[in-house]
Amino acid sequence: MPLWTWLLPTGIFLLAFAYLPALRIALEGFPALPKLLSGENLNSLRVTLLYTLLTVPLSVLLGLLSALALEGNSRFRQFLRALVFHPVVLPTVAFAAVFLYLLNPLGPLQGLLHTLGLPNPLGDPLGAFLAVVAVGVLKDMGIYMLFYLAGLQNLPKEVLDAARVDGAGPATTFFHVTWPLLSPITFFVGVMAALGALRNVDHIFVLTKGGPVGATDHLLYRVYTLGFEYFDFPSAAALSLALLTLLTLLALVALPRLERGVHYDV
Amino acid sequence: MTFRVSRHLARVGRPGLRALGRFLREAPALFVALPFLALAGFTFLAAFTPTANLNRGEVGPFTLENLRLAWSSADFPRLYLNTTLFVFGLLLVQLFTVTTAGFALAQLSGAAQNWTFHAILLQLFLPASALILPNFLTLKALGLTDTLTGLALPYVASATGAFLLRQGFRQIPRELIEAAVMDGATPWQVMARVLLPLVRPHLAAFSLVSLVYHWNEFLWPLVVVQSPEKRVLSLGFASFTRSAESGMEWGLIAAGAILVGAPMLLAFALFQRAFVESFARSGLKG
Repeated sequence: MPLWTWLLPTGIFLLAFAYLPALRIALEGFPALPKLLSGENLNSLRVTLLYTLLTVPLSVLLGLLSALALEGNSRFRQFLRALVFHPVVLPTVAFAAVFLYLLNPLGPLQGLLHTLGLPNPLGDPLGAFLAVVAVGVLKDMGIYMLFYLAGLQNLPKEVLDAARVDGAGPATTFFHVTWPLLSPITFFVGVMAALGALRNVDHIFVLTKGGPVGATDHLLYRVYTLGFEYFDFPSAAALSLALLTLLTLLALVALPRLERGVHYDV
Repeated sequence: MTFRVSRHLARVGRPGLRALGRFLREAPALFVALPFLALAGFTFLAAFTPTANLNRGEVGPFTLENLRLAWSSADFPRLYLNTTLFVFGLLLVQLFTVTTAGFALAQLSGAAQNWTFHAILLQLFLPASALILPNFLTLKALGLTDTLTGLALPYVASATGAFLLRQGFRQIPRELIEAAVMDGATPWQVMARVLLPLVRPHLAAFSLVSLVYHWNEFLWPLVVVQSPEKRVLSLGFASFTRSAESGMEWGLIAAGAILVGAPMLLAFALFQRAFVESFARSGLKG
């Protein structure tokens, strides 16, 4: 049996459920592109960009910091790591529902925010946006922590020892040795986080439904409401095309370097 | 600096100081884990506290009432069954597609390997959730909306899995295959007896990623499934949350979240090491 037949099962399904659908979006979304210029559509594009620009650095940074704090293999550390990791294995809708309870007018987190003189986040545009960012970051940072933990374990001991012998303090060692050596992982985790920010909107369904006043109206959420609640397929296709364009830009930046990463480390 | 001082304190004699040193060393770890401890703790406490008390800002007295009510106000047995059928059925098919694709990718060379590699890698940036619109129309044309099969179709081919398996197959020395062929093994025997056992860790890693991802999935089922008896867990839970939220039934919501999360959390607790290792090793997810 020739080798290429082995690629058929994957190839057929990729064609039917990835490449052709993307092409279809491009063809059907393109004529509707002028519709994109409405205020609400531009708003959801802006929300998506801001959401991505905030969640990516935050979740990567917090993933790295928790990996640094939770390195080591004591039982206690393992337990704490499981705690940080637990939202990863929880359905996002369930994780977000917990925040619904915490942030309800009589909920514990709402009480804490109230004593600090802050409004209920879910009723306030900025607050709701930040709440959605926070839930997104807390949900995913555990998996990024895991990648960094693996990276920290694989750091070459000789280099770290050499730095210590040369009299480098912890801060110098981190910024001049650890951080540069971890950069392939940071790149990979950053790409994963950006992909996640563009495609994971489950918590918006539970927490804010795009509101208040469109503050959390992520592109993908809007694709769903336009397409499957209002059955406005042309507009939904135009917005899907906007989303695919963002993903394509990400792919153009990431593909060449990811390939190198995949060749050398995985 | 704190680390060095605390390590020193932990070593010196006096028990009080030693405890202080140990605490200082664990302080950053505790600090990082604290919000997650609070999250898990509040959910757990709320799930066992009557809602009336939660709404007065109280915790306790503890009761199993919420769990009982949550269990009876959504068809959980059906939701578990549908989700299990969906994720394991899909996994079975995926194990076939990722193995064949991974094997081909590992064997190809030159330009062909370069092209197919890039073509498949591209799928990572065409996630099914961004393609809900055309994929739904495809399912409709096939008459497969509102079926668990339709739910699974867009995920049958997985770039993540194909790469993982490609890495696995590449690590197998050629001599091993040649030796098996010399001994008169057919290609199928080589696959089943020699290759598959050697890529078992990669298949396991992929299985875990796939199970977790699809068990938690929400948006695509929301689009595909219309009838309540076809719902999967996350979908059933979301509609259950909506009705409980309007009645401020926080105890019910917390109990429901525990019911929905329990299987994966339990699996994670039991297989933590394998889980963590495979996640870390798999490198790619989704």
